[in-house]
Amino acid sequence: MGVKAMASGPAESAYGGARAMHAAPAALQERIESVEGVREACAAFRSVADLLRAAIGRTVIGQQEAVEQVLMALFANGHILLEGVPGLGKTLLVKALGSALGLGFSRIQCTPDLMPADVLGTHIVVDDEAGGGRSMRFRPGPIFTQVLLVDEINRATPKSQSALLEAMQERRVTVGGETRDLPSPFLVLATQNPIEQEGTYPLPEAQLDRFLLKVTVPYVSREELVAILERTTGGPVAEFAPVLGAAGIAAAQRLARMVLVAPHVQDYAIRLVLATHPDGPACPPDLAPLISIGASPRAAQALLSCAKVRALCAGRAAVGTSDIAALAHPALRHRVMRSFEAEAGGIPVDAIVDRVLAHVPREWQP
Amino acid sequence: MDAIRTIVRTARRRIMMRDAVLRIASASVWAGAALLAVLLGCRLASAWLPVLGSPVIPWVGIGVAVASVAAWTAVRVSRPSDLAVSSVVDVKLGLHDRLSTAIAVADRSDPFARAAVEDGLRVAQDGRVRQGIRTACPIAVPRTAFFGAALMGSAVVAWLALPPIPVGGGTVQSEGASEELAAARAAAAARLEPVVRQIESNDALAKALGMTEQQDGERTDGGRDGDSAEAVRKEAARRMTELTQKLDQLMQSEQAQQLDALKDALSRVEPSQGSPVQSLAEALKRGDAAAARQQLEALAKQASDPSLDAATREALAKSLEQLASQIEKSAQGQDALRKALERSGMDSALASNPAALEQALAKADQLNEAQKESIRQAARAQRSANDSLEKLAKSMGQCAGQCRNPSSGKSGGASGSKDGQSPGEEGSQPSSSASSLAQGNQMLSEMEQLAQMMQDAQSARSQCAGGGNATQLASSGSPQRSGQAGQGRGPQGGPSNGGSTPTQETPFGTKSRKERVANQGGDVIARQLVEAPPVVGESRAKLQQIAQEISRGVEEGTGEDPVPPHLREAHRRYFGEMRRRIEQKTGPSSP
Repeated sequence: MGVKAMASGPAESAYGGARAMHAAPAALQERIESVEGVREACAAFRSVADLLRAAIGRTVIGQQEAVEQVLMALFANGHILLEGVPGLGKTLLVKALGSALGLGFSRIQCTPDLMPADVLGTHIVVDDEAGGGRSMRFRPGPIFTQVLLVDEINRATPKSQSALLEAMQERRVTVGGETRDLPSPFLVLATQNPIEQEGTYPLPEAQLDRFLLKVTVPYVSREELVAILERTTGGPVAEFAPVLGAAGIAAAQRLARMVLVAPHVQDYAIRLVLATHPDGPACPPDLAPLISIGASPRAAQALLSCAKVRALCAGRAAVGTSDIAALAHPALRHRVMRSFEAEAGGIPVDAIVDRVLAHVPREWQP
Repeated sequence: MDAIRTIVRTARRRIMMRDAVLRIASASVWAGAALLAVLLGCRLASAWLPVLGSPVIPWVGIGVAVASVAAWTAVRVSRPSDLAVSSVVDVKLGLHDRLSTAIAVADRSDPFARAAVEDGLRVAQDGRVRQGIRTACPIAVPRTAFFGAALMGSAVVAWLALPPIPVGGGTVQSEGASEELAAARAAAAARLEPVVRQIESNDALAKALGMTEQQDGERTDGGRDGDSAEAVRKEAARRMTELTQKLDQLMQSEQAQQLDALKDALSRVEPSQGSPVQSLAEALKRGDAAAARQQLEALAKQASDPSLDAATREALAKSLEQLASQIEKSAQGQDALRKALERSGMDSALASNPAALEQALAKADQLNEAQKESIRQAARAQRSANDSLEKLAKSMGQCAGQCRNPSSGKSGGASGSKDGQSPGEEGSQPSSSASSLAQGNQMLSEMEQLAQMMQDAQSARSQCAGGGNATQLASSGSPQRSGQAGQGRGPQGGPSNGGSTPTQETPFGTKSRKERVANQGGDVIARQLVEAPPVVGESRAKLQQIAQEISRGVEEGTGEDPVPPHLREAHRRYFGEMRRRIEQKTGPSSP
């Protein structure tokens, strides 16, 4: 099916785009060699994104910004750290995403006694019925899936956290001297509770940096709460078919990497990141005392890769500074460490990011 | 790309205009402040800054024009690029950097770049975007522009409203300045010219005062061309002060003291009633050298007259000898020197012994060098006066001898020249008696000239002191009348006494001004031990200590003890009065 068929109507085009992404990634790759193909690919991507939003929206009420950022991380091939108080639908969001994508889904509920083997898997002794003996067989852990929900990751011990986060970064695990690749795509969505700090093990800065985005799940509004009550306390929850397979996700991820970023737009991302370095010349003087550690180069990578997805979601073939600015909070909030002064003053990280955005003009300055 | 370029050009023009307006506004604030400061400075010190005395409006116009050109030049130099302008438009209009991305990747050929360019073109062709340029790049006059305009307006108002105010001795250059200068020159000339004429009327006086021809050529209006009225007045006062000082020095010089000694010695001559030399003796007693010289010449002529009988000749000779004896006796006196020594606290007997006087002066530690020189000068004047008197006495003695023996020689004095230096016409050879008579005549002539010079000096000095009256006369429009009192001739041909001119306080004077200096202390560079007389009498230390304790105790007592507030002042007054009385008895300083 050609990508032009997606232009007939919103719903139809969305499904057409999803099928295009799912069924013919190679053909899509050939079509984007022309301007028309680029436009069609952008439209198809936008359709897929709309379709995914609609599919998730059937289960998750509200939280549009969180859903949007989760989709961006998905297409940017990154992992997400969800933070919010209990009961706001974090786990439900991840489940809905796994269902909508038709990918394998696993869940790890982190506790202090969680061991790395509980995450990665272990070798067990099994009876060899054919040979009559016994042999060691690897039993994969829950990490061998495509969409992994790590619930309350800060309750796991640092040992287990590091095993998990190493797999996130390398996308492979080594158990018993054997290295095993994780399935593709591999998306980790970890959640943590910001209020219950007793008995937790806060993630180190180096491990926080491995999450592409940190999404804050806010409280729902009154209307959203009404809808949640009607949907969850009434009739059965509607089931929906997966809209995008692994191949489609991979194609979308490839397309996202091809989105154009003009030099002056990229310079804006660089200026944003440099402005968070307290010892650097680009950091505003009133901001430097509030920051102990600035954003790493991964922050700039996250900004650009997610901004590309955002531009594609908007049907544009090039990234704008508005895309980068919109992603500054989820990309920087877990990479900018507050100083004691900021913590003592009760200045949240998002306020610091706001100041950075206000200090760095979006207009290009030679 | 033309549509994008068109939008960028429009936006750039508006951005540059906005920047220019901002720069002009900022420049106008600074220019207005500077202009206000300069104009106020000109008003306060117009004498120092006369170049800006022209109307202020052109200066304001020039300042605004220069600021505008400078601002536009600065904006042209910092002309923004297409990418920068398009980025501004993108951000302002929310175009997601479509225009700037199209410009940035216009030279690329990959599909995404071409798609971005086409996307940018589509946006640029949108009419809403073209209309949105005005809102994206507004040209608004900032508030600073109004502030700058207000400053310039204030400058103009200040220039038009404030009168010139001279500050720090500066004078206002106005239309009346030339009139004031002319009046000052006239007043200075009226003061100086009579004094100068008075001095120049006596060659000896002019020579003694060093009034050379070059100095005579100096203007008597007290200034140079281009000077202000104040400078003219100051120069006139300076010259007047200088002349006064010279005249004072001359009137206290050795010549003046010699003349005083001569007059003092001759005043003791007692003329005999009915004596043939009574007129001569009276003239000498008066100190009238001119009359004395005439009398002496007449007597010499009478003595050489062969028709004179022997009795008369003998009487004349005897009278001359008596007069010569009196003069010779006066020449032995040292009254003037004695008075000078007595004034200096020295022994007056030293006047008769020059060697002892010199030794005493060398050992006189209580006198400074100026006092010693003054005494030496008095001694020299006394000696000169005595020599002159001896010459005069000798001349009269010779005249008496000629009277007794008219054939012993011809007197040349009777028919000689006025100064007595030329030989007589009748005598073939000048005799010693004729020479002595000539010396007497010369002495009297010198005395006459000296007296005349001192009289003229005294007159000029009086005119100097009476300058206020002369100035007043000059200001009344008749400068030639000033100093008339000093120009009249007395009954004997000499100038009359100028001291009779009424005096008035001078309009100028000195102002005591203390320089503001910081006393930063420093090293002691000299010490002097003063040998004070020993303190005798009853010690006052105890009493003064009591007074200080009373004063301190009253302050502490009224501050700490429960003294009712309405009685504190009474306490202080009572004990303060006690301390004052103690200090009156003992003195404020410690013994």
